[in-house]
Amino acid sequence: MDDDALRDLYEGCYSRLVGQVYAMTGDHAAAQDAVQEAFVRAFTSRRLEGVDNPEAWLRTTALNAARSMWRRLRRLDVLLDLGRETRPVDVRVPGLSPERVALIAALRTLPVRQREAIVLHHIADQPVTEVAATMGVPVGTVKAWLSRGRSRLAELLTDDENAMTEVGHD
Amino acid sequence: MTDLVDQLRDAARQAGQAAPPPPFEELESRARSRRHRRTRALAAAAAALIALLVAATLAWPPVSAPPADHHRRPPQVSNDRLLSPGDFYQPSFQAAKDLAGRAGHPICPGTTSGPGRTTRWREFRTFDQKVRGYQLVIRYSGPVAARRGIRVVEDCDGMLTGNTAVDSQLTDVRGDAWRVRHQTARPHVTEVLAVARAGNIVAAVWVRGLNRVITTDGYAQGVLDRMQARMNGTSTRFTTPPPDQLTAAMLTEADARSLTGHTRVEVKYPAVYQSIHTCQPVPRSVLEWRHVHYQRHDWQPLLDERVSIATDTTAATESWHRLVADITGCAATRESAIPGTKLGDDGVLIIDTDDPSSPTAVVRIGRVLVEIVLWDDNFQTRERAPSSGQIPDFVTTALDRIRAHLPEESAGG
Repeated sequence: MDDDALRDLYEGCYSRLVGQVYAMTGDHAAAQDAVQEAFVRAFTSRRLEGVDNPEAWLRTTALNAARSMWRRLRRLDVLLDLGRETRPVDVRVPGLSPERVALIAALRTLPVRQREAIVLHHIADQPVTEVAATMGVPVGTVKAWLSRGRSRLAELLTDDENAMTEVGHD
Repeated sequence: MTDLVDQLRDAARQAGQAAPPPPFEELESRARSRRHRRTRALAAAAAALIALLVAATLAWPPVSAPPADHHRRPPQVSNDRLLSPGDFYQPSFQAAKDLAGRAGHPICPGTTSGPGRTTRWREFRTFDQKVRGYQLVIRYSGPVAARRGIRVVEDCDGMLTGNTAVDSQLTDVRGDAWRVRHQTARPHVTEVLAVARAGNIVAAVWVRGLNRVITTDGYAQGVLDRMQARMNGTSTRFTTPPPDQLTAAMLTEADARSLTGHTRVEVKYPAVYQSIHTCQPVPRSVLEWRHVHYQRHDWQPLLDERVSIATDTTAATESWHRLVADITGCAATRESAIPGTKLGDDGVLIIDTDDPSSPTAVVRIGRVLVEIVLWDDNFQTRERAPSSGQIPDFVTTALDRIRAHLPEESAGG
């Protein structure tokens, strides 16, 4: 892949990848770092040569990078004895309404595999078969995760709205 | 549910739009610097690996291992001689191996260790890479030395070679461990390896010099006699040769005073050579004249060439020594018989400046060879010949006195 093609790929899918990784991690800055890291790795080793779907490669690489960062931060939390198992979601993301931030926060409460399936299928628009291949599980499993994830997300958002309503009545 | 999915997509899209991509060139630059770091790291790792391999190769055990029972062999504490006198004058590698093997220390290039003992053989080569001699350093730990009946002996050099001129610091006696390290750089003994055991003394000798010195049974016998005498406590050092074996050119203290004009003169080691130390300080330096007289085993003058000039390798000092040659009226020798030197095309001896024991200058007049060594005021540092090419006045004066003093047949022409 020559430099012009790389540039086109970069300008075309950078923002999209940041959004997807943000949906997965809930950390906007970390998502940008992870996507940039994926591109740097692609430039460094020219690994996109011969790749059929470069965006998928970049997405996977970015998610892996995000996981690595998350593990490092988790170890740091343990070292610093902060006593938290999950890192907080960014409550203020420029250009993103509070409702959308709350949605991402709700998404982060789902189990990792369910969340990843939802992000890949519903946000990255990957077919179920492709998600199954990416995650290394049967198609049925992916479908089950998607179903449970969506249901759980709907419950969470409903509870959240009720809570807000109740608070409003008070 | 569709609404929920749309909301998710919208949130992701908004989050993506909220993050404008940094310039493409910036990521390219980061990728480039990362590539460079990776290349450098690979190069450093390769260099470290090569260094490790080289170090491992150098530290590899010697080619020939000592016999299996080598370390357990009990010491022979009788007074039998493992060496015959004839062994001394065969400075070949095979002879050295034979001698060393008979003495219980086979030649193993490199270092071998046993319980309480470390043996190290070292090979010396001449300028043209010919084997010049071998050195054996044996170090016993105190308990092992005591168990073997080895006495801690100081100054084995003089005892074995009859040469107390060997620098004492070259023989290490540390605590109760005994290490003999014979490395005489004096030019009056031949290169020979001798590993000798007499009684409860095990010693190794490596000396070098003129091959013609140790050429008879008499010398070797003398060495062994000295060892024996030392063991029996009948001799502490060698003795002065009989007066009738002194040559006309060998100087006395009175001669030294007369020559140098200094009242404080010390004559050292009269048996082997006359050493006249003029300790009288002169400005900025002290001139040490060593009036070296070469001797055969039978105390006859060894050298009969007229003159040789030893000089430093620099042109400036070479010219200085040429001036010395002019003053003494001597011609250059045709061969270099002095260790640590080589003969230049113009017949000038060139001193190996890497050899710290090499003299600053060597002037041979007839049968007399004079080493000139310049010291600093504190006798700490050898100074090389003046780089200006100028002869200090005191050098000229002293040379004149030497020439005037020496007999005609010795001074030559």
